[in-house]
Parts: sequence; structure tokens; C-alpha cells
Amino acid sequence: MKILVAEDDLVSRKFLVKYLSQYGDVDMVMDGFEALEAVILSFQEDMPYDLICLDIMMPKVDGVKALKAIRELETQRGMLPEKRSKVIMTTALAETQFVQQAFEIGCEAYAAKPIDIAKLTEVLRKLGLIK
Amino acid sequence: MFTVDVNLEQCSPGQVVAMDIVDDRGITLVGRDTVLNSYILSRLKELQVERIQIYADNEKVEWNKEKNRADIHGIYQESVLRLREVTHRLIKGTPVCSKDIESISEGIFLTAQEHEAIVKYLQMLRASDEYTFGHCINTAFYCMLISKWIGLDTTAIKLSIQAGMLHDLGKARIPDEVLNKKGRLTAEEFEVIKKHPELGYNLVRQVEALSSEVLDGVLHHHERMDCSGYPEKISADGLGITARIVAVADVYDAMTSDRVYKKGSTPFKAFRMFQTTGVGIFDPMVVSPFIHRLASYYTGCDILLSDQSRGSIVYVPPHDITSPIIQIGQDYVNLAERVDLEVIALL
Repeated sequence: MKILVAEDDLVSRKFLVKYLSQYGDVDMVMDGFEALEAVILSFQEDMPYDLICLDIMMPKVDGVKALKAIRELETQRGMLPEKRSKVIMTTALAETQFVQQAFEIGCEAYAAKPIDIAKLTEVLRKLGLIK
Repeated sequence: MFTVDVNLEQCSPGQVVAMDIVDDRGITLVGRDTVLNSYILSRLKELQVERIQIYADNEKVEWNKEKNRADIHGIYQESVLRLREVTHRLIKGTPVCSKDIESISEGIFLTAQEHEAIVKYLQMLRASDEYTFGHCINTAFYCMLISKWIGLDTTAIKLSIQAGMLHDLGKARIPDEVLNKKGRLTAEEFEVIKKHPELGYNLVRQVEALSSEVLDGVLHHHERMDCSGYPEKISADGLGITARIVAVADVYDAMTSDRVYKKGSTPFKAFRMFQTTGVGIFDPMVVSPFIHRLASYYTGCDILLSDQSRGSIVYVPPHDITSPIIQIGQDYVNLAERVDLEVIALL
């Protein structure tokens, strides 16, 4: 599984990367623009990400904007809905209107920080990313 | 130009990198076309890079640089004159055919290989105002670089040059007092300025046999991917590649040029804009290759820092193009580590 973690907080980032590494190769970035560049690169290599974890609050570009731009890139590429990356938004506070916006644009789940490992594993299983 | 594979120890400052130097994790350390200097060579040595590709025949490269810098100046000035002439004919209603436009874009296209010289020349120019059509020709050059760097074919590159040089002709129909007003525009004045894409489109439509791709680039150069643009507020779906390219080129030149109402920003400030507020507004498939290739060409430029010290850029890290390494005297300043400092001007 190919995974991208976009997370500006060091602790959360290390945590997620460590946990997700057991399931595949994890790339990590620290802001929304870098996330976009990582996605563009993955297209160029013809190896799109299976899973993207996007922090809703990042410096420079927030997660919702980044999500919108990523979906836009996928549409431009002509990706079928079932082939698009599964996106999990991570959020430190109950930023409900951002979470709402993210769902409207198209994400699969959100995870409140501190992240509950058991719940996250369950979500990954439900999304068909792990057995 | 021939490239050779050489050992790092054999390299010396002034040689030009022919292929991106990538570390074993796949991270770009030094972009292609960067001119090597002692800082970069010592860093590469520290990182245990052993072999790189450079352009051979360096004396020839130097001589060509001088020769081509002169050509760029000549072509630029001539393009400005011709564009002014074409614009006057369009306003008068005198027939203009696409060959008149093509003669200008073909001239600009002659410089297509001279990336570094173009970037340095445009940076040196900086002062562009509405009268002298400088901004239009600047935009045409940037459109050429962008369309090359995103891999478009020659036809598409030439069309983007044409769209770039014609995109703001509508401003010839905007009253002087509004166009060159030094202060803030009122809401009504801004509405007047916002008519220029349409006005330009109507002017340029008169050109016989001009490509619809170019017309689209002119009409839609202020449209944005998130429907926040004008005049039609179209979404990304309706936005052709030429319009997306002109949008980025136009904004980059506008930001970095001196205008009557402001001094130009540094390229780094423009890069930061594209990486932050620009996300969702401009096409990242256009922006990302553009700013990454462009950034490395500013290596070697003299700059002024915010503490008034003067230095020169020795390295623009590909993964952090807004934080170049500056050499001041014998010392190196890493702007990524110095949040208190920034580049305030290129000299």
C-alpha cells in the first residue's frame, strides 16, 4: 500500500508514519502544497497513493484546500471514482465546519487527534485498505 | 550541447549541471541547469555524491551565453515595438493577420533554449508599465518557459507565447486615469479594469486565422480554478491549458515587476504565494514545474537581506525554494534557519 501523510505537527506525524509503515511505504510532507507535489509525482510515476492522511490545520495551506486540489488533480487525470485515493482527514479540535466541507468535497473518514489506534485500524479495514 | 559524466572531484565552479542530481532517496539536491559554485560542490562532497553530469565544452557555453544574452535583448526590444504596432492597427481596425502575430512569437521562440539568460534578463528589466507593452512580452517569455517545462509540443508552446503577448491588449482600451492610477482603485474603477480580458478578446478576434486556443487564453487569463476569477467565473473544467499557463505567467510577472503603485516582490515572495494562497486558484500541474525550474536560475544573483546586508545566492534547495542559501563575504547564511531574515530585493 502506498501512503501519504500530510501533517505539520511533529509528534502526530511521527506517530502516524510509524503506525502506517507496517502496511506499506509511507511518504510524509508538512504542508498542503507539498502534499500536492507528492500527488503530482505519484501520478508521474504511475503509482498513485492508496491512502492519504491530511491534517485539516496545516501552515500555508489547510487540509480542506489541499483535499479540493487533490480531487481536482484526480479528475483531470480521468481517474475513476473507485481508483481515487482514500482520504482520512485528521483534526485536533472539533473543527466541524471544516470536516463537513471535507466530506462535501470527498473524503472517506476523519480521525480526531489524539488518534485512537483501534478505531483507525477499524477504519482502514472498512475501507478495504487492510485485511 | 554535449553532456559528460564526471567525478565530483573533477568539477569546478562555473560548470553547469546537465541532469538533476538526486540522492539515493530520490530527493533532488541540485536542479539541472544550475551553475556550480564552491558552496554547492562542498555540500555535494559532504553528501558523498560521486558522479554527476555536466555540460561539456564550457568555454563554448560561456561564449554562447554572451552571444545569446545580446540576442535576447534585441529580440525583446523588437517584440515590444512590433506588439505596439500590431495593437495600434487592431485599435484602428486595420487588418491584422495571424502571420503578423506569428512573426513576433517566432522571434521569441528563437530564444527557447536560453532559460537562464531569459530569467536573468527579465529579472534585470523589472520595470514594466502599461504603456510600453513590456509586461506583455515578459508574460510571453514566461509562457514559453512554462509550456516547455510542462512538456508541451512546439505548436502548443508557440500558441502559449502568442496568448501571453496578447493577453493584456484590452488594457489599451482602459482609460489612462484608471490604468495608471497611483493610489488604491475604487470598486467602480476595479470593475472597469476587470473588463480588459473581454476588451482584449474583442480586439484580438479581429486577427484573421488566430487560433481559438490563443483567443481562449486572452479571454480567460483572469479566470481561476475555483471559480473566483473573471469575467465569467468559470471553473477548472472550462479552463484550457493555455489560459492556465497565461494566468500563472501573468501573475508572476505582475508580482515581481515594479509598477506605478508598488515595487516588485522578490521571486521568493512570489513562490510563497503560489504555495499558499495560490493553492486551489492556479493549476498545480502548471505552478509546480514552473517555480521549481525557475528557482534554480536565481542562483548567483546578488541580493539585499532584511538586515541591509548584501550577499549572493549560492544555492536554492529544491525542496525549499523560498529559503535560499546566501553567501555574505566568506560566510553562508541559511535562510531556512534564520526566520528573522529574508531577501527583500534582487540587485
